[in-house]
Amino acid sequence: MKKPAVSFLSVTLAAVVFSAAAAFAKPLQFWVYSQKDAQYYSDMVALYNKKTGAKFEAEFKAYGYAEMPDKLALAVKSGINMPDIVQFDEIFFSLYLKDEVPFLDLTDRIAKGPLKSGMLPQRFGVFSWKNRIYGVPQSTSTVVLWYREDLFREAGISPNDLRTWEGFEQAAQKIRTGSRHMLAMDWSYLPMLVRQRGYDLYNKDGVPLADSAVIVETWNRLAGWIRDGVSFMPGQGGIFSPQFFSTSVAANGVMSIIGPDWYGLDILQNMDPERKGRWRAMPLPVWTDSKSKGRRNTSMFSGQGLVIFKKSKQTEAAWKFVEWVMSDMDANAERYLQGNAFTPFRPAWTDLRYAHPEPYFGNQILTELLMELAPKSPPGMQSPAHALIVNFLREQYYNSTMNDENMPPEKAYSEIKATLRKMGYIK
Amino acid sequence: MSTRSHRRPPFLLLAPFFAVLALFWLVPLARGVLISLQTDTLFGDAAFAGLANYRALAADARFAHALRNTVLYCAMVLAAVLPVSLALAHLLRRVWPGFRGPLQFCLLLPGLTPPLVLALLYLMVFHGPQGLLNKIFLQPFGLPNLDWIGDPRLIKFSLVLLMLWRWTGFMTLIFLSGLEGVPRAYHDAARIEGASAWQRLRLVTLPVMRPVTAFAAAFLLIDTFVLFEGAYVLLGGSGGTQDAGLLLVSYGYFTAFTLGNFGSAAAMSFTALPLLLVALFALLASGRPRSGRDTRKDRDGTGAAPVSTGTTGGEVRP
Repeated sequence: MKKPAVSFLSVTLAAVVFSAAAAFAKPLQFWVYSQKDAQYYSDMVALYNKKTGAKFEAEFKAYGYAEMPDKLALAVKSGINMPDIVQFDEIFFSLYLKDEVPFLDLTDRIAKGPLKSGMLPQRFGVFSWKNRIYGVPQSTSTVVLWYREDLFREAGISPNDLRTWEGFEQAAQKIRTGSRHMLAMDWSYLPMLVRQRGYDLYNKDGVPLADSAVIVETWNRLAGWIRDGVSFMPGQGGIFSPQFFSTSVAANGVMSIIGPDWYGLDILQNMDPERKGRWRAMPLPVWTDSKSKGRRNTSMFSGQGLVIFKKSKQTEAAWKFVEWVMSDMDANAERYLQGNAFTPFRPAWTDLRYAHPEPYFGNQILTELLMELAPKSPPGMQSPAHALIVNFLREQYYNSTMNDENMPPEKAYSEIKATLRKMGYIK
Repeated sequence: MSTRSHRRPPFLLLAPFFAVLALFWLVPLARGVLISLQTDTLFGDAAFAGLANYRALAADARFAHALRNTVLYCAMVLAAVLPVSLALAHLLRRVWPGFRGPLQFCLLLPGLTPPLVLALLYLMVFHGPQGLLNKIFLQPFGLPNLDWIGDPRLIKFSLVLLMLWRWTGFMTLIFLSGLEGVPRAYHDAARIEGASAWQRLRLVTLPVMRPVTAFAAAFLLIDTFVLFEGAYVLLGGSGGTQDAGLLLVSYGYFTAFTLGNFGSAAAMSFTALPLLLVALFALLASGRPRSGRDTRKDRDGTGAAPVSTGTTGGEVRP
C-alpha cells in the first residue's frame, strides 16, 4: 500500500523540480499572429544579436488572429505562461483599456530614441491611450483601392474614372454581369470611409460614436451600394476569409477591394496566388461633399504592433529589441520584403530595397504609392469600446443593414449607441 | 475473509478516478461558483459581489434571448436528428449485410471529424452566393441565392443542419443497436395480431426502445446545449445578424472575452445548469421501462385488440 503513494510523491516532486528549473532558464516569450510573423521576428532576433552583440533570446508562439486574444486573456487572468512581448492587433488592444493598462508605458522611452521623430506620428494613436503610448505599430496601414487590372480593362474602366466616389458609382454601371461586382465589401469599410472623410468611430477622448451624422450618412451610402449592385457582401469572414478568395475572387466576381497595405502585401498575395500579376493598387476615390474634411484619397485601418507587458521580468531587454526592430533599416526592409507590412518608420523609406517592381502587382512599384499616401492618412485613435463596436458591426448589425429593410443603418446605429450607453461607455 | 475487507479493494481501485474527477471537475466547478459571485474582470482585483451577477442576468434582455434561442435550438435539433436517425437505422437493417459495414463507417465519419473541421467545411458549403449549396442546388434551377449564415431567418436552421450533419450517423448506430435488441418475438406476435408496420413501430419498437431513445436524446441534448465550435466558426463567436443565432455558450464567450466580464459569464453558466439538469432528468426518466401492460385506450384503426407485449405480468422489457 505504501509503495504506490511513494511512487506518486516521487513523480510529483520530480515534475515540480523540472518545472522550476525550466522556469529559470526561460527565454523571453514572444507571441505573434502567424508562423510567417514568427519566422520574421525569429530572423530579426538573430540579426539583432549579430548587429548589436546582444545575447537576446526569444521563444515564439504563433496563434491565429481570433485565437490570440482569447489565449492572452486566459494567460493574463491566470497569470500562467504570460508573454513578455505580444504582436497585438489594435482592435484587441482596446480590450485592455478599461482598467489599468497592463502594457509597459513606452512614451518616455520612445521620446529618447529614433522612433520619436522617425515614426509616422498618426500611427502612434492606435496604440495610445490618455496621451500615453503603449505599443509601436509595425505598418502604416495606409488604405488603397486594390483592383483587378484585367477586369477593369475588360469592362472599359480606367483608374482615371475613379477619382471620386461619384465616378466610382458611375463606372460600376458598366458591370453588367450578375455575378460580378465592382466592389466586395464588409463591415471594415464603414470605419475606413468614415476616417477618410476626416471623422472616426470615436473622438480623441475615446468616446464612441460622437460623429453621428457622418457615420450614419456613410453607412447609408454603403447600403446604397449594395442596393444598386455596386458592391456585394461576401459571407462570414468578409473580405478576409479563405472562402471569399476560393469562391468570389476565383470566379472573377470581384473587381476591386478597399484595404490597407498589409491586405495586399499579406492577404492578397497569400490567398490569391493564382491571379499574380493581375492586381494593382491606386488611391481611394475622394469624397466631394461639404461635410468631408479635405479631399483625402486614403484612409487607415487596423494594423498590428508590438506591446510589452509591465509584469515581464525582462522589460528593458524587450524594449531594446522592439526599438531596434522598428527602427533598423534592414529589419524594416525585411518586414516589407517578406510580405508583411510597409513600415511607418520614415527614414527607412529611403532604402532602395523598397523601390522595386512587384511581380504580383504587375510590376507596379507599390511603395511609391504608399509613400505618397501614408503621410496623408488620418490619425489613429483608440477607445475602450473599440473592440465592442467592431464586434457589433461585424457580427450583429452590418450584414443586416445591407440586406434587411427592417434594419436601416439609423436603427442599427441607435441600438449600438443605446447598448454602449447602457454599458457605461457613453455618458 | 471478512465482508469489510471484501468491500475495500473496489473503493481503493476507484479512488484515483475520483481524485482526478475532483481535481479536474469539482475544483474548477467550485472556482466557477466563486467567480460567479465576484466582479471579476480581465484586470484588476476581483471583489465579492454576492448575487449581483445573477440579478443583472435577470434584467439582461440579451441573456433571455440567448436562453430562448438555446432552448428552441435544442428542441429543433432533437426533433430533426432523432427521427431521421431512427429512419436511417430502419433502412440500414434492410441493407444487404455486405454493404452495412461500409455504410456504417460513412455514417460515423462526420461524428469522428473534429467539430471545428466540420464547421469549416460547412462554411464552404453554405458560404455566400458562391457556396456549394447555392451553386449546385439553387442557381441551376433559377432559384435565388440564400444567405444561409447571414439571413437571420435561416441562421438557426443552418445550425440545426450542422448538427444534423454531425450527429445523424452516430445516432443511427445507437438506434441500430437498439433495434437489434428488440426481441423478434414481439414483432412476430404483433404481426400475428394484425398490426401494420406503423403500428408495430409505434406500439412495439418505440416503447421497447425507450431507454435507447432517452439515452440518444440526452447525449444529443448535452452536445447541442454546449455547442461552441459550430457557432464560433459560422457566426464568429457571436449571435450573427440580429442575434438570431445567439446561444448561451456564444453569449458567455462574448461576455468573458469581449466584455472581459468573467463573473457574469460564470453566472450565466450556473443559471443555465439547472435547466439542463431538469431536461436531462426528464429525458432519462422517460427512458425508464414502465410497469404494467402497454395498453391503448381506444382500439386502433384496424379494429385489432391492443398489442400485448409481455408474458411476465405484462411488463415491457427490452
